[in-house]
Amino acid sequence: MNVATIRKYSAFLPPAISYTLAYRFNILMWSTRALFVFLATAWMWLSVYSGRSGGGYDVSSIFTYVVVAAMIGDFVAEDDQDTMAEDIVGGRLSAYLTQPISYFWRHSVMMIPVRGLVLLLIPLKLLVFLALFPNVPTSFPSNPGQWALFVLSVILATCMFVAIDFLNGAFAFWFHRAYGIRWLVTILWALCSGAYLPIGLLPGWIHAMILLTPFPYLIYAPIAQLVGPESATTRLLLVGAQIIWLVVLYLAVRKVWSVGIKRYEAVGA
Amino acid sequence: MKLSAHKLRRYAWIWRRAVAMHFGTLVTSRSDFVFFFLGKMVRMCFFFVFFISIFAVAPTVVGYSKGEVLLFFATMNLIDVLIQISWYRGFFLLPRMVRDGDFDFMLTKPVSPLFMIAFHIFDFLDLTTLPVAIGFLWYAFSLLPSLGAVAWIGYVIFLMNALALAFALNMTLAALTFRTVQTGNLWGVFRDLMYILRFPPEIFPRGVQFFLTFVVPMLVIVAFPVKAAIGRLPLAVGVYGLAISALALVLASKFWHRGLRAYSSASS
Repeated sequence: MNVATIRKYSAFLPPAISYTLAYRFNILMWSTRALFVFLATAWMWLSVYSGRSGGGYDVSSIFTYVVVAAMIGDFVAEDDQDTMAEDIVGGRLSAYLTQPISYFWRHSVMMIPVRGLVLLLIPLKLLVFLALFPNVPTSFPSNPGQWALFVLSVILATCMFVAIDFLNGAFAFWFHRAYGIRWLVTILWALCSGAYLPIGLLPGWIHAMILLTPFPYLIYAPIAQLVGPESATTRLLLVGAQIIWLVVLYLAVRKVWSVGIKRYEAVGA
Repeated sequence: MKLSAHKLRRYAWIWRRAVAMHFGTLVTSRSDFVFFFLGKMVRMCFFFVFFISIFAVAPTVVGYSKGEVLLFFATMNLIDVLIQISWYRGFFLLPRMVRDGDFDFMLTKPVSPLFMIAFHIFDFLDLTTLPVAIGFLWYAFSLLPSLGAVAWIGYVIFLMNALALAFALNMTLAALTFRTVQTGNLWGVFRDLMYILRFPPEIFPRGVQFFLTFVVPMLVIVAFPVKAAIGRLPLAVGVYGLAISALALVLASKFWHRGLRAYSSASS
């Protein structure tokens, strides 16, 4: 990607920022609601692990897991599949097709401001956690290498999610609005990503099946860089799996777009 | 009496027509029906496995056995499904109907607008998940020592009480629509609260338990039936649960009718 391309796509940022700020209260509400669910999850796990350890976690590591999941969940998994599906069904896609841009990259750039806003809310969420759980120990690593891998893993997970979100929206090429299948995919990634629990705690065969999907590499893989029973080698393998999935998903995006666009039709002026 | 019976028959007929019409719109997109059904099944089964997984770590959670914790989850599931099937979708759509002016069409009909709004959508999708929800409930009960008649009666009474309270809370949210149509997030909060109630209430700090029992009495919805079944509901708290539901129904009804009087059409 050269400078001219970056400049071209950065032209989408001002309208994207305006759009994001127009619905800032909604974003705040969404984040608050997500935080509420995470708080309940935290209380649940603290009750389960009170004075115990199991599955490679103890009370401090499970609490750290939940906190990190709450911090990165909204950032990684900010979706915009509805807009894409509406663009396809409503015929608005035609306008973008006449422009010398890639719809995928535009779709990706449009989500940058909202992710920025979510990022800004992270210290606030941390404060809430610290205020509500002042005496619960955390187990963050002191090794800067682990933190570097964590940041890399979050970036890879975010890129993976952008591709999954795009593929999910692209279902509208085949199904009218595709509400059902998009919701099913959303449920699958939400449950299998590790947002609710470390996937290693699930029964072995379910854990093995989930690992074959891209979903655990969205939340579980980044968190595993900081906390949990995974060895240093496994943590590196998780990042490697993220890179492989990213390539696969990007190729899938290209293929699905090239096939889907042939099915696309718009009527009217 | 004759008039009441006639009225009842008329409302039953209207409800059947509304159900049939909604079913007609639902089957126009069979793929959506299948995928939504699969999604709901996956979510239900996942959380069932989630709770089973917890007991690989701990033999009890805040003093509750596996069967008791699963009973919280299964009861929440059942209540949630029943709410969704019966009135939730109808109430939830009210803000959009007010915005679009479609609510006016309901006001022009010689039927109670509350009845029309609450029951014009019967969710067949959730109906398909009801057998699974009942299956989870049966499994949870099978893990418990056999319950006596009093426990069963208590469970059923507080289950019905939970539905009454949930209806009152949903009616209140719907009535807010007449003041502001920006209620989307409040419905979301209700759903979030329902989902976190799948956990035993004692996992929450005392302040949160107090808030969810006496300020926003969501714990009355899920925790009370389960506690009545396993004999952990003190009589005075149980009486409070029944009283708060009755009070909530009266207040919600007043709030709805006041809201309705304040409503001004947005349509052309």
